[in-house]
Amino acid sequence: MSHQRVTYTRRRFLSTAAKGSALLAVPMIVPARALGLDGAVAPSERIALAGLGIGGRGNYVLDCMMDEPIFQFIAIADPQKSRREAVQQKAEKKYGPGVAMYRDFREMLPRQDIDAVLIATGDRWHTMASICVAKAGKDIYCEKPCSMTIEESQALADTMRRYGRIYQAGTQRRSVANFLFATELCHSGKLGKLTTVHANTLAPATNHDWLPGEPEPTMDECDWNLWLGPTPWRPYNQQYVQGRWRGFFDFHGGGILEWGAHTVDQCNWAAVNDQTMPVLYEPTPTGCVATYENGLKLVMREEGWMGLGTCSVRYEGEDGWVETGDTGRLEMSSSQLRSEQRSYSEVGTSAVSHVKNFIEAIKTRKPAHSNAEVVATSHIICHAAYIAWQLGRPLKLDPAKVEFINDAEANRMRSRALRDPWRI
Amino acid sequence: MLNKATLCGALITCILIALAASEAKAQSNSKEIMALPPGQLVALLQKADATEFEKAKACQRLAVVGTRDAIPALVALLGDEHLNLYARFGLEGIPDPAVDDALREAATKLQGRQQVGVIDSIGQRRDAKAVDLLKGLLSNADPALASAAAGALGRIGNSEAAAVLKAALAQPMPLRGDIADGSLACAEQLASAGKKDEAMALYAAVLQADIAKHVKIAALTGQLATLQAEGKDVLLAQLQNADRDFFRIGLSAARKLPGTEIGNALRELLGKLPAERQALLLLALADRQEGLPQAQVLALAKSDAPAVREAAVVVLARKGDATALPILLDAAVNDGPVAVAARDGLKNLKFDGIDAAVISRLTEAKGSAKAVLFDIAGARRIAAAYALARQSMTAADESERLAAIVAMGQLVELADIDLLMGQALAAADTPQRKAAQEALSVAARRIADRDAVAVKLSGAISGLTVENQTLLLELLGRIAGPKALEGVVAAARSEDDGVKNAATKVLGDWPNAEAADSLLDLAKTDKEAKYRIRALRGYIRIARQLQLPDDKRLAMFRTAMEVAKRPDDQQISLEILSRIPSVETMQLAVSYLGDANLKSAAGDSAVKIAAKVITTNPKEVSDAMDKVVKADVGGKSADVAKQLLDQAKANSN
Repeated sequence: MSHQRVTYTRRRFLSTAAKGSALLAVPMIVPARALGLDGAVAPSERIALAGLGIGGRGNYVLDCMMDEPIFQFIAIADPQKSRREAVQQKAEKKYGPGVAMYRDFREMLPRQDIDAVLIATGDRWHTMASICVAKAGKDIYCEKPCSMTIEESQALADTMRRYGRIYQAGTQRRSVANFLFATELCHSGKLGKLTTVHANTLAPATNHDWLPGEPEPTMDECDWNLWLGPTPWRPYNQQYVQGRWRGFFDFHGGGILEWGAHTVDQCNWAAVNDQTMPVLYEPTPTGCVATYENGLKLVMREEGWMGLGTCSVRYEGEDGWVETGDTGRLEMSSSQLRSEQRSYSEVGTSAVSHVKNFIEAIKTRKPAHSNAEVVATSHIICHAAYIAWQLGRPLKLDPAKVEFINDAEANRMRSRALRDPWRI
Repeated sequence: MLNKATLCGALITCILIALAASEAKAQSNSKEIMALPPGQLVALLQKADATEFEKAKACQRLAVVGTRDAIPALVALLGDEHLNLYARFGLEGIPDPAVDDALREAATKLQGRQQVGVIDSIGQRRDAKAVDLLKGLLSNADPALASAAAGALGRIGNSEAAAVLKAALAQPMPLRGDIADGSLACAEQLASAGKKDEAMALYAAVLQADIAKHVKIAALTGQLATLQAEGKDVLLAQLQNADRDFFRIGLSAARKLPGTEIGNALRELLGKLPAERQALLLLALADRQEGLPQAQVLALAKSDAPAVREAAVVVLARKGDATALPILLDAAVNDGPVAVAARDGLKNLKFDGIDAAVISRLTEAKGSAKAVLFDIAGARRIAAAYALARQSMTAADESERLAAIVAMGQLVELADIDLLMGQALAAADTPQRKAAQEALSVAARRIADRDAVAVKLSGAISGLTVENQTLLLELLGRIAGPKALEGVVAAARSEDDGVKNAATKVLGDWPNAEAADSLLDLAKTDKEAKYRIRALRGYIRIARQLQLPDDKRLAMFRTAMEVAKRPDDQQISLEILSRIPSVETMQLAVSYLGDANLKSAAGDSAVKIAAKVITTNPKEVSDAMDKVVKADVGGKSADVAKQLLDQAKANSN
């Protein structure tokens, strides 16, 4: 517990409970009664859940939550009528009538009966919505990527710490066994001294264009002003609200962050247990090679994987290597390493274990696996890589200050102005 | 002769003319605008007929490259309904202090949303000179403006801002929540700057204010973070607060606040709390660096309160020593709420005596208890459990039998793998067969000598049903290695269509490049076209997706193009080139533009490569993209080729 911002000194992280190492030893579920729950969940012990911007992935995570008896979904906010109605309908099918709908989430947040909020908007809203929810005194499960800029990453962690909220990012691979096993191989030294970690990322892209303007729908159908939220104004075009906002600079964190929110996060956990970040970022045509102070490389690349599934990672040490991905399969360099694996049934896209960890965190107030501090760290790495790629030159980063060294342009790209009344 | 500056100026003029010609086109030409130098960006802002889009993009670019020369043009847009944020975007990025002067001045002239935005920018820049201005706005009738002022003061975070916020907290202001929020941010900065007394005073002011509970909780969280090891009394008070939300602050802080004094006080408090709270604090204490004495946890594991007892078992399962074994073993075999935690603990804990204790219990256990113990023994790979598991593979009790089979997957060695194969390949579709298949899969991947396993599996294929042959072939694909490859290739040469079908699928999905030569051989020689095509696709997949040296990948591309007879396969082969970005491969892709069947795929590859080498080879990219454009490849690549061509020409100049 400290006031210090998300900067990276070993001393600070050794004193925080948010780091990940302890998670690996026994990723166990605490029984309900030890969480203050007694058998069948009493109404007073239920976690009243609300949703904010629930679309495709959000619906899946909501399903996982609705499978847990401890949750009761009571309200949905979405600037798009069709989406909020669909979620209301689904929730009422399970819980009965009474799931409230809101166009503007600011009208929902003052409700004292909401304990936690699932945020699954587009990227542009993730930090701002999380901050608003935290300031309303509720816990948060927010889909990735969690921030649009380096500054948002820091503000996210600052606010969660300031308001004492539980935050679980939707980087669910932190709770999936094959990824845990691969990380454990690194932490236990079984790969020897690590030399390179590889993260499966998508090729970065930057599009500053606007789609042609179209007549705005009614505010009830789609509140365009609210959809834009903290991002700069531009003319309405229905393609944006139908999901085709990816790739546009104002709405999207760039290709590296898309999967890097998962895979760079995994790599930084495996490599340095979230305690620091690389100091050098050298762009490649489709990614970036980052280097830690001790020489360890973090390679963000799109191609050249073994076919073990999306969001693959590969860890290479002086004594061996391991690669794994969303299929749950693992490939390793030696029979000795292979012999250590168990049978893993949960695929990388599954949020089941991650949701259980969120429940445990809410009840015990122990930081969740993907707490704001660890995701801020890995997101800053992704943003730094993306900035290096945009500038087309290597960048040196001071992890203690989260500042690029001797590169004013790069430093000016660490934040973006936010449209009023939104501020972090 | 035209010099470079003149050319550049001419290019800019052309761009601006083109941009002005069509609004629709203007909205897709951001790259050209954002390539302009700062002076031209400012000129664009001042251009009477420039569109909103052009000005917006110029502002965004000025955020990165703008200087004080851009300030007036940006300030002029602060009152614009659509462009005010873009102007702030530009201004916030410019480090010159003249921006702060301009923003302060603008804040006194603007109104409504635009004024709010400017206050936000003042806060963003942490302009300490703005404290007086913001102080005046805190009581403004416009709540949005007052809220922005509170936020800005919080970001400024110095002693002067703190004094303003503290005074405001004591007043009956409608926006006390925003003022408190600003105060929390301000207090954090004071604490970080070493001004702990000022921080504590500001937190105290928030606590004393008439404010929502969750904000008070935040203030207490801040106080605890400021006090650190000196926060014992505040911490204990929260843990004893009747309100659950305040107790939860204590739980969180109990994990984080350092010092043995705090640790001792928390342990002392533990027994005085109600059972539910004891359980939660017990879990928190176990996460502290100094942990809990094992004896205390053991005692709590015998508590009359189920919640405490179960929490203690969880702690023992995470951090217990040999003295915890009886409790953990009892909890594991009883189907109670902590059984899963106890089992996980027994699988993962590392101290002497666990294996022997498990074997001892296993010898005496029956039915479901025995099944649990086999699960633990398997996970721990207790060699001494092997004979017991083997014996139980035929037990009458199904749970015991199935658990024993599954455990065999973790325990069996090469010599006895036939035991599992026999059951996995049994004719009847039973739970036992399914368990054996799972165990065989685990064993095959676990046993160190993968080639020897592969020989065993390959040797068993002949004469089996297609379903079982497929099972073994897929398993061979999972373990890979030379012998596994040999076995699968042999099956791929089979006369049995079912086997051949399964084997070629496995080969096509081989996890490494070992299978390339075999796939190529099949692609060239197999009697049936469908398998030749599948094998070639597998070969192309390796070249396209897996890690290979560039020269090897290029050689595989050439081979694939030679062997491929169908345009579909040639088109996919062309994708390989985009993995080898170089002038040579770009030109190679371009060389296929003349083939009507391949020009689209060739264009795609050439464009992808061009984007990667344009910085270093603009002239070559210009030539190549000129050919792609003229070839009329269609689709998105045609548009990208035009953009790259323009960009390459500009770079070449």
